[in-house]
Amino acid sequence: MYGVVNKAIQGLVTENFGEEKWLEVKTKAGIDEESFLSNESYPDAYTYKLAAAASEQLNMSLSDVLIAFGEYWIAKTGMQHYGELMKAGGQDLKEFLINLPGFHSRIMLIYPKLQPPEFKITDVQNLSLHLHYYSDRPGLKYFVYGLINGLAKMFNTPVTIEIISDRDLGHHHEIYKVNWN
Amino acid sequence: MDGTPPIFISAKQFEKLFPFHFIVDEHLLIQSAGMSLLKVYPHLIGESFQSVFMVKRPSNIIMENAAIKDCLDQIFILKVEGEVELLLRGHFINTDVETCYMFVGSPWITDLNDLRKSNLLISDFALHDTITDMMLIIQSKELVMKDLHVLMERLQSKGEVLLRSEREVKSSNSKLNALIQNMQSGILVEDSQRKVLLCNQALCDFFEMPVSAEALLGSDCSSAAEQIKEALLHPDEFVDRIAVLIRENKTVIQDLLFFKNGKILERDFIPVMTADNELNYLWHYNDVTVKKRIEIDLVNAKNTAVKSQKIKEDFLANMSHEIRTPLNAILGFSNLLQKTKLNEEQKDLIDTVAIAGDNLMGIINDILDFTKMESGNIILENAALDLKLTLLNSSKILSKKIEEKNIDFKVCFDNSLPRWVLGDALRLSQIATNLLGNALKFTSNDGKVTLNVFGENIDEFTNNVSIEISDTGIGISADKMETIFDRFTQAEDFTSRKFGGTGLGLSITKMLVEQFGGTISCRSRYGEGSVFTVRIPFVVASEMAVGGVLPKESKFKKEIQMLLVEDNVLNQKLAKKVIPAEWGQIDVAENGLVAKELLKTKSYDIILMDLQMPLMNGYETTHYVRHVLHSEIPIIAMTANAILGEREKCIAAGMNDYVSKPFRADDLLSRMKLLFPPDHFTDVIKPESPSAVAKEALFNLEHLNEIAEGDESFVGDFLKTFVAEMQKEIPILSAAIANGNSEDIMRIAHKSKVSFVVLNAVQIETLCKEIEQNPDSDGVVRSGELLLQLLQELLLDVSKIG
Repeated sequence: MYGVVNKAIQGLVTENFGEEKWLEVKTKAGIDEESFLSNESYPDAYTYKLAAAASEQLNMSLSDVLIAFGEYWIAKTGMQHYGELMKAGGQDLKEFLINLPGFHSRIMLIYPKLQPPEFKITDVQNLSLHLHYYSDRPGLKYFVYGLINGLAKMFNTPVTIEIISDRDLGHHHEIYKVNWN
Repeated sequence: MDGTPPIFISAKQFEKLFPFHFIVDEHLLIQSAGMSLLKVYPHLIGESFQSVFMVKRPSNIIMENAAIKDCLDQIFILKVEGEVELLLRGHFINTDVETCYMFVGSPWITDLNDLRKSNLLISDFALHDTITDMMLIIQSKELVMKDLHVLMERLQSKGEVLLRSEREVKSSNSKLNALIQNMQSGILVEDSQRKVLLCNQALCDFFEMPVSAEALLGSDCSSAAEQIKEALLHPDEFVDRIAVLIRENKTVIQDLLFFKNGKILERDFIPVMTADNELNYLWHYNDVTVKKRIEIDLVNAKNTAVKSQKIKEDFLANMSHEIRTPLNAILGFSNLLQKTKLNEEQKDLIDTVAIAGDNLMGIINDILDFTKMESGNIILENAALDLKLTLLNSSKILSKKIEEKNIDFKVCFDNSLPRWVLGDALRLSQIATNLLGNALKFTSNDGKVTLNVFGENIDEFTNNVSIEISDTGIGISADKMETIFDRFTQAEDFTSRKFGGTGLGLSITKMLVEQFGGTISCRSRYGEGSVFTVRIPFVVASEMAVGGVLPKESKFKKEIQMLLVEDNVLNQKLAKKVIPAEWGQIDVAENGLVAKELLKTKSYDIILMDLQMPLMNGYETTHYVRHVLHSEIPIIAMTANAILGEREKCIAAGMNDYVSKPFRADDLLSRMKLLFPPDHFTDVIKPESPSAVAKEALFNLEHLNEIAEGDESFVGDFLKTFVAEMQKEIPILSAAIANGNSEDIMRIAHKSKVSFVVLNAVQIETLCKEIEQNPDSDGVVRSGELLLQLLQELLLDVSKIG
């Protein structure tokens, strides 16, 4: 994964728990990189280890860490680094989510070493849609959950999210039913 | 047409492909526009091209319909001015209408803020339009730039830290260098190849090298050592030692280097592992010439002082001996003279001589004791001592003075005190004698002196014994109380003049008490008398320490057969008296030959063997028993030679044990108990006889009466003979003391010892043993004086009974 992801974990831990805690998480994860470069590709294991270490050091479940990370990613990383682009992604949550698949296809062009996840939108209704999530990476379903939550907050739209299809339950891919008012 | 099939697309499809297009007519009025362009500029339709767009490229065009026709193959960059500024990049193409041209292109956005301002969404762009991807690339490049900025800042900050550290290192290096260069010590650091890494000027000066420290850097230490070695007292040793130190690679400090010119350097060698894991050697030199000279002077001074002290002690000992020798003669002969018929005036004169002599002897003894104690030469014995007997004997020694001054002398002894404790009887007696002597000295005629002994058990093994000596004498004033135990101090200046003494008595007593682990204190009121209290924590002697004397007594279960091999008839009789009849039958053989015959005919349980006998002595007889008869019968040697090594000689000859003559029955029994199986004996509790507790006198007749078994004439004869024999010995003893003849004193002690044992004169008997075993002839002479004194008192007491 690109460094920008690991930087986001660093940001999440540092902003909420302090620099010292981040060093503890990094040590716990056995990672001695002093800092991450946003556009540099790092092994996926780094990200998993950091998430697991953060879960242990912050005394939070891994799913909670991933949800918090997803929300942080939208609120901080996305908005800070890609703010204008994010805003250009759609005028509301529904529009943004509908545009999300194309957005990720473009990401693949810009980050050639990246294996970005693929999204598909179906069942678009007035107050809900289905977001299909396809990824080679396991264990990040709660990260996506957090991302959707983060987007909902960005557009100031309260949502409920149901995971109606789950790889952990033997399904082909995750499907999130996003409901809003 | 070039044969390519025409492509027809619907207006909707066209709209999707070119959402930012617009069409102008021949008057350059905008006829239509794409949805996305209209999103930005909703009032575009009908407006003239020139009023909306500024042509940035091509720049030299005069914008009219015909001009567009000429520029169909060129890129146009159009700027829309107004509220929302936008650059459109594209080109004009023909339409089906000859005079109408269509602009196809899309906004050129390099700043994402422009996108935001134009209210455009990504979805407003055609999917094939890569401008949005370019925007993402631009954004990601900005991200890279941000990272670079952060990195640059961090690098800069680290660079500053590094720079600061470098400056600090430089500064501390320079301080360190200044320090090393200005050190009094010589410093040399070399690497493992023995090249000089660091050194200072002091090093060059110490070894008289005519170079600067800087010039030495990088040079080879081995060759430098070769060059300077001749300055040392032992040049080769110097070089060899360096090689050894480097080979052993261990820290060695305070090696001394001696130079031919007298200089002495102290050298420390310290192998140092650097942070880079390189082995360096640190040599540290100090000029210790002055220090060593002072040390040598100090050692010499100390030796001289010790020597002087020894000379002083020897002188004191010699002088004491020289003074005591004639003094003993004076005292001895005065004593003899006192016993002759004298008129009053003569008696008075000789009494004065005797008193003066006694005082002088006391002073000399005090000085000697004090000197010994000060030099730590008095070591207390830790043997079982009879507490009551020791203290009562001390008062007995002073009985003459008590009588002379008609002192009301009382002894209160707490009979619950343990009888046997561990300690030095002689020194305890000295403590009591000193204090009692003082009490008597400072108490006027018809006064009162009390010896009160009591104690309390501290635990099962220790009793804190208090010895309290009170008098009705002159007392001590309050202001003198603090100094009475100081040396050469007496309570009042006139004390010495009036009462004599050196002022050492109490000082000696205090030192002795402290050696016992005890304390001494004094309560006194001037003119009313004094109470001196000594408290000593005595360890109660175990039965084993006392020698199994009390309180149990073993008896043979059945009678045994004993063979006494002894040539001396008197000793035969004495042995037969000593050994209780209930033990069994005693056969006597007057020499080894007779014993041989008896052993052939009778079986014995034990042989009591004298050593010196005519015809066949004890050693030869033992050899016969062991090697001819092959008998394991117990043999106990009996000898009057209580000298060291005698026991070992007997054991080597094949005998089992050894008793000194005259022996006591319990002595012999305790030896026999070691040789016979335990089932031969039965233990009975021995009742404490009143006479044993009341051993106040220098002697008692208990043992003699035991031997006599009611034969009073035997007792009478013995005492008479004893007095007669001893009276012969006294002048010889006096003369021996006067002449310092220790051999005569030892001989008399040895010869008389048997009689003292029979008379239960324990104190004198102990003294005789000490004299016999004392290797120091001066010590023998000093003990001889006490023997003479005690012997005279004993004779006096025995004569009274007689």
